[in-house]
Amino acid sequence: MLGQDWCRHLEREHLEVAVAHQRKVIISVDTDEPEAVSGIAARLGAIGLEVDDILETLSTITGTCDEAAVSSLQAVPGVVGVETQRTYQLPPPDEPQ
Amino acid sequence: MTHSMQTGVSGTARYLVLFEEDAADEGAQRMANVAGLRTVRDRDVAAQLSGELAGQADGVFWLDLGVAVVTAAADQIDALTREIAAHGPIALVERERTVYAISAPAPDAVPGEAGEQDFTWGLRALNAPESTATGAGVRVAVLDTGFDVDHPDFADRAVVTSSFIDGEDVRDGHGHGTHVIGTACGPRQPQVGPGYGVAHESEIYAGKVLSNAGSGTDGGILAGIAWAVQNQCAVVSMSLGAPTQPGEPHSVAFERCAKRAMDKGTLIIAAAGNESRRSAGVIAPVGHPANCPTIMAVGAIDADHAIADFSSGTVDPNGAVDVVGPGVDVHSSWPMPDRHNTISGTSMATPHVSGAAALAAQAHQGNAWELWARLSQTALRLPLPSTDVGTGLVQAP
Repeated sequence: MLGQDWCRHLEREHLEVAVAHQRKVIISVDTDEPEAVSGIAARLGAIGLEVDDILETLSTITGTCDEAAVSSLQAVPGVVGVETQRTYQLPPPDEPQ
Repeated sequence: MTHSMQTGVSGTARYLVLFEEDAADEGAQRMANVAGLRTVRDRDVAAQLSGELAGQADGVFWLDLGVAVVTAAADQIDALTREIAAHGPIALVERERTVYAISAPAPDAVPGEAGEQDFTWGLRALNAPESTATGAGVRVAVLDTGFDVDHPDFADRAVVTSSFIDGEDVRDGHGHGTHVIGTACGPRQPQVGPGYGVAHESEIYAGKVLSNAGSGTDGGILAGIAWAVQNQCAVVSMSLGAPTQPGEPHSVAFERCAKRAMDKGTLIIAAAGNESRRSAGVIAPVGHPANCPTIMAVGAIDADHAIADFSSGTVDPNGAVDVVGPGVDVHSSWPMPDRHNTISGTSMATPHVSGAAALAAQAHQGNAWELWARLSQTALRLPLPSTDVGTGLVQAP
């Protein structure tokens, strides 16, 4: 019994660690040609990027990937930058907005 | 225009005399005729001083600028002042001012009237009521918590909406978005209360990039920016930001996006941030993404033209405050049934600037780079550090 509980605990811990190492990223590319940007997005997808949005007009792709995969994203031809996304939270109503 | 006269030792003082356009020669002649003031062209000054030209000159005039500087006695100035009323070539007479070094104390800011009248203090601080521009034909994208699409103050406005928040539509369940859209684009003559919208005839593009709980990510915001650019919005107003640490570099990704947007005709304007507590000696750096060089960062002032306690400052070269707008006790729309609300923040200053940008876009029809220049150039200079206010308080055209 104790052994099974311990195994489940390790499994949960592993899952949490795996999720914690997922990153939302912004990928800057060197073109705004829709076909070229889509092509880069496809290559990124093939090596582990879960694509959220392809924003050709801004030469940008957004998505989620494992922290370990970030450097390989950088190496895809056409990629000029990979950055972690920041998050936003409006303050409580009684504070300056 | 008359001034109390402090006369020189000989009972004379120096004055600027402005001539009507293309009437400098005639004006110089008239000065000689009615006041006995003889002037020489600027190009002849050297000759005058070396005695090559006969007679004693009382001053110099510049043909191209249409202005003269003369040394004159009181009765001569009286004669010139009468000439102004005659609508001849002489337009204006002014005491020459003395210019002091930078360390001279600045004049006190003229206190604003914080009480609302026909228009909010913020609109009056921008001189928006006097502007003939309305924002008509200009698309303004406001990326925030969405919009109360059924708000009665906007019943006659066409609003284009899009939600970039999974599982939520554009209807504003928070309030923030409705408030900032009201400031940027709202009415001048609502049924209830003062006029509070700067670009009151602009085309509103309400993009929901923050959830009803007020949270969002870079991904949602970038999607909103792309939407705005694709829809030829001249302005993107972002009353949002993430705090930064001093010395933290700006986002290269956002800077690239901002440059792309500018090149495609869209100026991005964002809140500088509210992390300062200046009364406690804390000045926080400009937040992300306003700290990007190609995003216009807006700080907040109050009705007395003082910097707001919470307004972020240019703490390191990596993030500059570019301009300020009214950001304390700002009255604007709020989701029904509340209808209106009065709140403070650089979030409130930002849509004042965005609305002014829409007015300027209508008035001047240039590209996004030119629009930034216009806003900067015409901003009201304030007697405050540029690290706090940039080039000053943005003005309506």
